[in-house]
Amino acid sequence: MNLETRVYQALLKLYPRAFQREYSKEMTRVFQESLSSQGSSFGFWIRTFWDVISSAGRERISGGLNMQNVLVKFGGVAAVIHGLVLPLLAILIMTKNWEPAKQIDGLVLFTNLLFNDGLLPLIVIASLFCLSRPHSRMEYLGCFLAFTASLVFTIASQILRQDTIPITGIWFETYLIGLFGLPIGLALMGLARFRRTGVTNLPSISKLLFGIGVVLFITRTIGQVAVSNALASDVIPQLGRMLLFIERLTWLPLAWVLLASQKPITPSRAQPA
Amino acid sequence: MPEALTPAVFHILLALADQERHGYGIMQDVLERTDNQIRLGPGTLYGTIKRMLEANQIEELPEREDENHQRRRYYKLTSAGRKTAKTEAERLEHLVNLARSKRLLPQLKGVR
Repeated sequence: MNLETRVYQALLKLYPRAFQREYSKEMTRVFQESLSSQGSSFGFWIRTFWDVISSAGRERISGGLNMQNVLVKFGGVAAVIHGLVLPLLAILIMTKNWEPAKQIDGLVLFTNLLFNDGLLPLIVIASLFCLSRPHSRMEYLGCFLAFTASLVFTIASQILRQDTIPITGIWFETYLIGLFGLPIGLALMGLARFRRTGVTNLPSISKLLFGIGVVLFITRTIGQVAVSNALASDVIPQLGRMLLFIERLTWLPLAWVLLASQKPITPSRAQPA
Repeated sequence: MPEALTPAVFHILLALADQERHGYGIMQDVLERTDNQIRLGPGTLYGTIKRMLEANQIEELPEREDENHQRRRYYKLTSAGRKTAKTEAERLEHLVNLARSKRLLPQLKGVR
């Protein structure tokens, strides 16, 4: 068995066991035939990863594991913690003139906590609320708004903090693709689903941005947790790191739903008579 | 108006409309028929096949050897699946006619 097949068979572990038992042999054979006809190119692997991630998510949700509910609940709790605690903390810092905040500009800290860490999760909560009506236009609109808003808030906070965005090297990739690429990719997906376009019909650039974004997003999150270089970590080292981690996890349920749901919106909802 | 099918479901129904095929055969047929525009990955393909089997739109045939003497699982359309494909085709035709009436598409010759 070649390396490519071994990698693919490892990826098949993402599917529910019952699905693996039923179809893994056939899927592996189809993969091998596709590999021999298309060759092991970068594009081939992007398509393969995309296919596995999206269809495994769909199978897990439809497999009766109630994964969607688990993710929504997890995301909801995390978003509530993040959306309520951090703005309160920001107000406390402003009003009590807390010692660590003296080291940096109070307004900078306030806007950062409010925009980056406060409003975004609140919008995520609104989107999660929309998910209680799965496969509706509201769901996709909610996802679209959440990620568009996160993008706007991220840019706004950068401008308010008067940060300059480095445009060379790894920072360029981290900021423009890791930070913005993921929300852009997700926003496009939300918009496409909202407009009843199948995920398979999305422009390749959106899928590519999303793929690269996810990798850098996870790398960046792990990096931030491992090395406390974030603003909140300076204020409250342990809690800050944990909250940063939770903040990033709140995005995953939305991404999961966008990737996993392929069921079309019913015409009666999409096109009211 | 009937509920729209996903592109994957409709293309699988079309692939099986004229003959029984195995998974890779379905994938190749869709690829050729759509000028390489729609490429069903193994996960999407078998996930959709699973749901179509549950919905009784297709049925699985006993394993048999393909042209390369490998044992494969073949699928064929059921009468319910054929009806679903026909309904979807009619729905799409209706939409195309609507587009023609709005002059988004050229009129067919001999049709007013």
